[in-house]
Amino acid sequence: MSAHGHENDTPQVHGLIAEFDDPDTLLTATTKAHEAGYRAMDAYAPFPVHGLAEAMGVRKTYVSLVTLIGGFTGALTGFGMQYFASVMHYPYSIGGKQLNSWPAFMPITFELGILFAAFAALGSMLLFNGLPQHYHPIFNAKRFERASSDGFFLCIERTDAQYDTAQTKVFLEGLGPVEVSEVIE
Amino acid sequence: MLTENQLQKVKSLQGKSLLAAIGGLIVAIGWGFLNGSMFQGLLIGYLLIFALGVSSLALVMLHHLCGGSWSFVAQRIAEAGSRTLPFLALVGALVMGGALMFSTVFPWANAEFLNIEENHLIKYMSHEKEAFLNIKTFAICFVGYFAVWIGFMLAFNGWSKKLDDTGDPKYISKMKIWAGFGCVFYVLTMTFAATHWAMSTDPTFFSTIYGAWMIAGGALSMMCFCVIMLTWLSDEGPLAEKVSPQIYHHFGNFMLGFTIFWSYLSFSPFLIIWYGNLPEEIGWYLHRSGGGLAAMTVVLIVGVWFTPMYLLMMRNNKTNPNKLRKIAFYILATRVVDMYWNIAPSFENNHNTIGWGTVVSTLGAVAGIGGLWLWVFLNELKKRPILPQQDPREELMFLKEKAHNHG
Repeated sequence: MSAHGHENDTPQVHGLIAEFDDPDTLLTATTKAHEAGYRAMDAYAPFPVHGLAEAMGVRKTYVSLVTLIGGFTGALTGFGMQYFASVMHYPYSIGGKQLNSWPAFMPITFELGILFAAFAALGSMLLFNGLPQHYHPIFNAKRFERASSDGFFLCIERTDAQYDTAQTKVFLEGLGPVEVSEVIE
Repeated sequence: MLTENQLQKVKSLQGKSLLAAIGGLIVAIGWGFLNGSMFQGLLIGYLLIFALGVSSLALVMLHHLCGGSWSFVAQRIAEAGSRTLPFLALVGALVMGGALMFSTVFPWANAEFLNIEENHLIKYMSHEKEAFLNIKTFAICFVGYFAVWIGFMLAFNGWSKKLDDTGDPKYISKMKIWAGFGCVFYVLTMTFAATHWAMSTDPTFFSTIYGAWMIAGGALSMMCFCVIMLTWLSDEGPLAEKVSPQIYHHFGNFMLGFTIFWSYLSFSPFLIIWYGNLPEEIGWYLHRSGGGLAAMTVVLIVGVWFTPMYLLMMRNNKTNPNKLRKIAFYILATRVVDMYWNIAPSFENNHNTIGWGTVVSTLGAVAGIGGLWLWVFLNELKKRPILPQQDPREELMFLKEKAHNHG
């Protein structure tokens, strides 16, 4: 490992980026990079490419757990709110029904459950992704604006344990890219 | 075509399904005859199995209207399912004809019932309903429903065969246009059929959402059946090349969607009727609120709605064929509970109580009619290639999946 080397020589480098012509090549390249042991990498494409996340090695995230907790919190809040209002705070019998008329509470319980789950999913996704982020070095990459029209990119980042400026460059060039270049921080 | 091994597998399952059918019918008819619950069980069992046949037709039409790779791989399964409709018409005629003649499954068919002044049921039955609920209308409509379904079934299977032989895109545009009409007719006929065959077991009850409720349940059964068939037949041969985790993911999403749709359709009439608090509406629910049926309602909420919904929300359960297959079997089993809960308590001997006589004849009828149906289905499945042969849409449909399989 050349951790020592690159920290002193090229501290301002974010990583190496390879541009590909089409989604199939990008997918194959990503799979190979993962097989070669690279982990700190990201792929960029103008549209969702099926299987790309899996090829990068999906990790289990906590978003689903947070969403579940959010959903139950919302349902409890919805039910609790109605229970508090109609049973405790302002008991008022409507149409001779019992105060705790739970069937009537169900729509709001369900809807608040969904609402809180959605907020929890969005919020935790942003949080775990470190968003919003006002600066990202990837936009310094050559021709990166094409990632939103017709460019397919794979960037191996310097933080990867296996990263080595020369060897990683050779590796990327072996994957059939249009071009490989360095990304400056 | 299916491979040799698969044909062997199909044959052996056909043998087993015949055995199940004989056993089931002995229970349903023998036990049911002694117990008086024969036609009750047969009707519930028939409606469950009938749902598979008619939902197959709906899936065929849906595929030609807006389908993709997921319905492409299931198209021949759905077509074979739709070709069981003539068989289902025959069984339906026997079950419902018998029920009308020899039992009180349909109380409105009983002249005595209609004349009992003090009968609490008849008190709330609007007499305008008699124009729809009489044996003559019932028989004419029965023929009419099946004429529509079998007509569409013959048309779509015919065009599909011609497309196989010629690859001519004109059949595709034909199927696309008629699929649109077909879906409209399907929902209309199913609404009336559900009213005649299921809802009228309690002639005082009325709910305009009832047909959609039956459609949702049937569609759910069909999605599960497709998953089971695909996992079973994609071990080798043409299906092995086409069926990817992505396809199971689509089916899993549909199972989730129809589970939620079913629960919405089950709960909303209850909420509205419970809110309205009117004596002429509430009877149907009162018959389901006491005895073991209150517990069964909880089973429905927890076991039929929440559990599958929770399991199907997790992506891993949908992309893993083995897990999805287990969930599909589970949902098919819960369909029996749901259909029992939906119909059986309307019978006089089952008001507010789980009548074990009816439970046993229902299970017998599910095995009996289901076994026969499975035999007919597998027989039809063998007749044609397991995938469409010359569909010009194939490449387009699999564009996305191609990228996936590559990785």
